[in-house]
Amino acid sequence: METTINPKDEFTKHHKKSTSSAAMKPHHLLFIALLMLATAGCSPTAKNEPNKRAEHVPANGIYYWKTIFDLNETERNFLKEHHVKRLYLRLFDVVPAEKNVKNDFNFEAVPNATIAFRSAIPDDVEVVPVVYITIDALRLMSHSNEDYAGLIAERVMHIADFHELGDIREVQLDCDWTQQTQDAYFALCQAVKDKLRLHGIQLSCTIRLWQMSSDCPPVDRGVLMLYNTGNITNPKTQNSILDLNDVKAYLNGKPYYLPLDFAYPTFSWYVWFHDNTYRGLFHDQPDTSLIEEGDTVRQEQVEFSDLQSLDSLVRMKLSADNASIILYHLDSANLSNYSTDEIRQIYHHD
Amino acid sequence: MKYARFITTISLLFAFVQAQACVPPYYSPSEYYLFHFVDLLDYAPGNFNLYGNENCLLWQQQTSTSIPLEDIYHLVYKSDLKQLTELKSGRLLEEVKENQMAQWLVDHNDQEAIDFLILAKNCEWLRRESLSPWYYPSKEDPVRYSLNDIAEVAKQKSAGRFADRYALQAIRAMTSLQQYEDIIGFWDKTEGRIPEGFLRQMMQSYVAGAYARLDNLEEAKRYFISANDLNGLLECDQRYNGNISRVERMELLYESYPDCPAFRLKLWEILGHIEPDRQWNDEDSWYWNWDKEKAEINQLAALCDKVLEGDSRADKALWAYAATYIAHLQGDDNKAHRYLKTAEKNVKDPNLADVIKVMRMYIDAQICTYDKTYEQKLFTQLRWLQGMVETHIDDEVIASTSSLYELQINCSYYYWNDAMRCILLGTVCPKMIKAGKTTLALQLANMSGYTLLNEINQIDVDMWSPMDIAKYGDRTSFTLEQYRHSGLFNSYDYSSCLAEMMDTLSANALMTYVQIVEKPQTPFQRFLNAHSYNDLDFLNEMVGTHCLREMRYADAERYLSKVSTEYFLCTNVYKEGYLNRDPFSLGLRQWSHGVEAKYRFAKTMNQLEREIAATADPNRKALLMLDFGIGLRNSFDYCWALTQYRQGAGYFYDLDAHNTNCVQEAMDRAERLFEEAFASFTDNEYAAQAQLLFSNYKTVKEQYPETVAAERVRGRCDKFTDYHAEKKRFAYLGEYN
Repeated sequence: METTINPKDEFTKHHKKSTSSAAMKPHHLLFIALLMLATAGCSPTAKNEPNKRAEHVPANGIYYWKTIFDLNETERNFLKEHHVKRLYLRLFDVVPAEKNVKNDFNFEAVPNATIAFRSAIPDDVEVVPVVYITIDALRLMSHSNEDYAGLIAERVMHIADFHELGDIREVQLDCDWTQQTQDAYFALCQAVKDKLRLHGIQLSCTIRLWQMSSDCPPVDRGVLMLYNTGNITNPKTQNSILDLNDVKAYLNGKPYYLPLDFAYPTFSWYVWFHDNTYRGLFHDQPDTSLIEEGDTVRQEQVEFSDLQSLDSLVRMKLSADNASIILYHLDSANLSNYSTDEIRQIYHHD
Repeated sequence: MKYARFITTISLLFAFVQAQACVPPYYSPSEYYLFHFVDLLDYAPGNFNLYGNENCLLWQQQTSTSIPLEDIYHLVYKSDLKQLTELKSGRLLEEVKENQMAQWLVDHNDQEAIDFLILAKNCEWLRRESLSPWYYPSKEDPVRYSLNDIAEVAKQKSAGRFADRYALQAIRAMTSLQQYEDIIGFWDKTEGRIPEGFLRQMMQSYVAGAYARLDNLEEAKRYFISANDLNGLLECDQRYNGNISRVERMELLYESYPDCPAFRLKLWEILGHIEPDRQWNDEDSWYWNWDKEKAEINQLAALCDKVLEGDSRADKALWAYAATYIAHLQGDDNKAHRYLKTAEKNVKDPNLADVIKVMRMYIDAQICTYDKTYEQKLFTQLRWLQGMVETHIDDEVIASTSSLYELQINCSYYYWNDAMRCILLGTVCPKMIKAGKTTLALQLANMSGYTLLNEINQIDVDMWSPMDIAKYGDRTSFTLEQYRHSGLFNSYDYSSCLAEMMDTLSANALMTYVQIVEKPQTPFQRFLNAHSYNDLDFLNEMVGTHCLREMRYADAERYLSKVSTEYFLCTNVYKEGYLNRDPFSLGLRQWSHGVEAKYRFAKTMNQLEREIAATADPNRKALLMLDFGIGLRNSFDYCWALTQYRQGAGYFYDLDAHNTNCVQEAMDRAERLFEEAFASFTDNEYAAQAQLLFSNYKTVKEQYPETVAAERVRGRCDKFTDYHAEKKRFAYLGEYN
């Protein structure tokens, strides 16, 4: 329709000092609020119940974290051979972006690096859409959790629908939340969870090791990320992907009141230092044109024996028998570091 | 039991509603928006969308003038694709069943209009969704066309009733598709048939944008100017000049187009944003760092100077007007005065001339000496401003004013009245009071509070019954007179700026004021009275109450005797039951005088005071003193409604000390009276009775053991304590414990 964006709206909406609430006198609002409180207990249910709650059945899983979904033959075979029934597919990130307005401080959270599909999803694989949220975006969303939760949930559903990703039973949020951003993240989780419940979809989220000492996020379940345990920027770190001593320090036997699955690392990378200062990562071979004399490159990879130890530790400390094991991530080059039998030993479910 | 609890809860709520009527204003009168351009009022909320309004009017012309604009607005802007598509088959979905435009389109089978609305709605949906970073196509999208389809269809419709509307849709679709060369080509072919008006201006904006994206800056600017699209123009400049400030962009614009009409809006945006907080714009601000705003204001001041000294094509009155306000913000009112003279000298546009006149009033109020010359000047200025208040009243102003709320909280909603209240209440009245001209200050406050209300003579009340929630919000309109006699809580007359100011002044000041109201001496006084609330019952009751507050009981009796019983019945303190308390009791006794309580109290106190002076018998005198003391103390305590209207503060905080002093003086006097009275008794029986009255049982028993009172105490108590009711603020003790 001939909707025009009045350039003055941004200003004039502040012109009247009365806000919309001014139209209703405070005592009226209080009255209504009290009435609502008084009658709240009378309603049969406070919230919509999900249409039909999906049940989370333990299954072998794997993350797919690239921006183009394009499986090669090896990766397809890997899924089939190891009975991988659940694919945790990163659909997009949420990042801050400057709004297209002239105001200096207008930033908003927007989706970024949305996945493109060049392959179809293999049959018999349940897709769990994953949305990665940066801390800066989380801060921006904290004032409009409801709105952003709706946008995230709706976009996930649209992508799933458009690309026929199958019956979505679970959506996962991934965010490296800190104690300072915990409240904002939990509020967002709750809002997203509420939106998904209406479709009978569960919400899960990733849990970093250190986050286990905090409260549980308000989600249906979690995936404990048993990697990136060390400080990658420290030149003295042996292996920032996995150091069992780091893991042990966190798995101290305290109960964690959220059903957990476990993500193990099957990736490798090269960490580049210049003058003992972290410079970056090479996911494949180091780019020799960038490396100067005296630079050091630390190759990080998780040996099968470490994965076995990790698995034993998890089983002992976290009663993982009924949990799913998820590998990070589906990449034929990285997975080639492990034999079929080794992978089979790591996965619990044949 | 549940029912009883419900009633109790609701009753408490109801009481809360009443108490809320006494809340102080949210804003100070000095916070009203003052810097303004009258012809920009259309951009204010309510007239939320200038093009929208024009668009609705055009739709009205293209369909039927009998269709209300509101219905047009709702169908054109708010309906969804499904509702419009159903119209095509002659069906009215529930949501639009009552919409007169929808009905008209169906009744007249206006397929041409419906087809256009459907195409435009498709276009809008696709543009909005594709512009959102969150958009992702879905199989459930209601739209089955692409923007390309829409552009092609719209381009073909070069004739017919909606040809120019289709042209706009074609351009909008092409803009979203980033087909900038196609837009220009289409415009070149179409321009000749598009009439002047808002649709053409909107198209020109898009064409300008297309030129800008093709890096043809000069053409882009030419079209932005034609479209009066300053934001686009500035955006265009920014594109070529990087991330520069708003003021720098204005400066660039000025260099190319010194007479660009859109400067008004830009100045208003910058100054209006800062304006409401101007009184906090100081170094001590504890909650906001103003450095950024100050830097921008300084930058704008420099630009104003540059323009005023520069190109003669610029609207110097406009820039001088802005410079005036900036100088005021910077704290230099003399400099502001000099700029204002430039503005006055150069102004040609009558709308601008009017707001400059308002600014003149404001700056004069800041810099003038408050003498007779200024009073005469103020009179002239106010006569003009009052006329502006009167002549610009529209339905929206009536609706806002009659709800009282915006008026009471000093919210900006009607420029002319806002300006009057800002200037008078924010600056002139406090300065008049400081200059000792309290009568004039009161008259000005009265006019500020009542001129608009008197003119509109309507108060709307949301009636609701605590027993019938469904009736919540039923709005009833009263005239002022009806409202005051309606039996409803009067939420204005005792909370107005006049009542607020009267409350803080002395009885003498009020008496002089009432004399001038009754017998105005000058044309200015007569003018002010003519636009004020001058009910003598109201004024005499106010004076009488102030006399009670100042312990001037003879004067109080004189003034309160002039107040009609009918008026007493309308006062809030009576309606709320605060006057049913016996001021001469040490307990919580009811008083039967109710409606005339103030007058009876004044009369009794006056009589007691005279008898105390005339009585020689020390025992009788002491008893009279005790009675007087109890009445005095209670009238500032449990029976506060005899001397006060409320507890609280308002605009004139520094003057509230008067009220506080009155309370303290009364309490001190009561205490002295009690001490003197107890010391004056020569007869032990009288003395013991008096001590008994104040529940001092131990004193009665020990100091007056032979008296009848002591015998009564001994017969009823087994524990003897002095409760000292004479020393307690709240006289809640009974005669016997």
